[in-house]
Amino acid sequence: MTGNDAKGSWRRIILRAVLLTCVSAAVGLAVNVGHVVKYFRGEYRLVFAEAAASEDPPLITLPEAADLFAVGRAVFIDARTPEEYEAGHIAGAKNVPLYDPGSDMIWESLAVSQEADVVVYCSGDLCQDSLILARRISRLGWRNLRVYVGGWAEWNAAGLPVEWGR
Amino acid sequence: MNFISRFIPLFRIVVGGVFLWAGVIKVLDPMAFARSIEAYRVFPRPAAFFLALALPYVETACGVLLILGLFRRPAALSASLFLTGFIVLVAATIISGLDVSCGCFGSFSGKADALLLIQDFVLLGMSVMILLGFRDRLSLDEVLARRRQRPPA
Repeated sequence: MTGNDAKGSWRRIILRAVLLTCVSAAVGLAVNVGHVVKYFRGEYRLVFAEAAASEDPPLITLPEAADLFAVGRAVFIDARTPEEYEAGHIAGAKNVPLYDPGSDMIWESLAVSQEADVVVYCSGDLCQDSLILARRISRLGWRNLRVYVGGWAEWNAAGLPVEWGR
Repeated sequence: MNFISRFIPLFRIVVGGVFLWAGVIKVLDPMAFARSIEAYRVFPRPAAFFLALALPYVETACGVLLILGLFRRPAALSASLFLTGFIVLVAATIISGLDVSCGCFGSFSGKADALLLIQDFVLLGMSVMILLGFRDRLSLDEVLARRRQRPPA
């Protein structure tokens, strides 16, 4: 292969890559034309979610969780197992183990006001238990729910207040 | 050269598979992906919106083409540029201490952390190997080229 051939083949590759990218991006925009129209009508200005799809409790990060904790009005709910809870949890958090068959009753027994701010968390990282529990509590009628995504691992690592035991 | 050649089909399947999977998940829920992009706090909202609609289709197309080995070098070029972009984005995120989910695989996403960075570098390495154009007898590119060269019966 001569130098010119090589240069030509690279030019062809770049051209095809650009074409491939543009065509598939155009297909994407065409398929989503409904979203685009809604966007130009002024939807999605506050949050990228359709009203019907936003039933899930909002996810919050460490600073938000720490703020709610500092204000002191929020109820923290630990969705992990009793053993994990006893080994350490966010100070003042109540344990409602998701996989306990009686978790709904445990939750009711806490007698949390329906107006209260509730923050649900689990181990952190990739755990989904907090979201699943929050959805369940939400179906029971509580509205001011939040899921703290970082969970126990992040809270503990950040040196925020924790306690042990029941 | 020959030695590397043997691995190119494997690289195509791995990189293509990851792109296809990541692309399809986002195609199914573009608004969730828009929220993920926004969480990085790099792109202005309109950019996040349009990227979320278009990017998953480019990812999916790259994935399919890489798996098939059709236009494998242009697809690998696009994939390499994307991976470079992701790497820069994730590195910037780690440096700024922002705690976000990477948003790469919808609800399967992990955190945007060092591990993700390593994964992306490995994928980039494979993608660049494909781009460099080693022989790849299993690719549709070469199958079609062989058929074209065969004299008519």
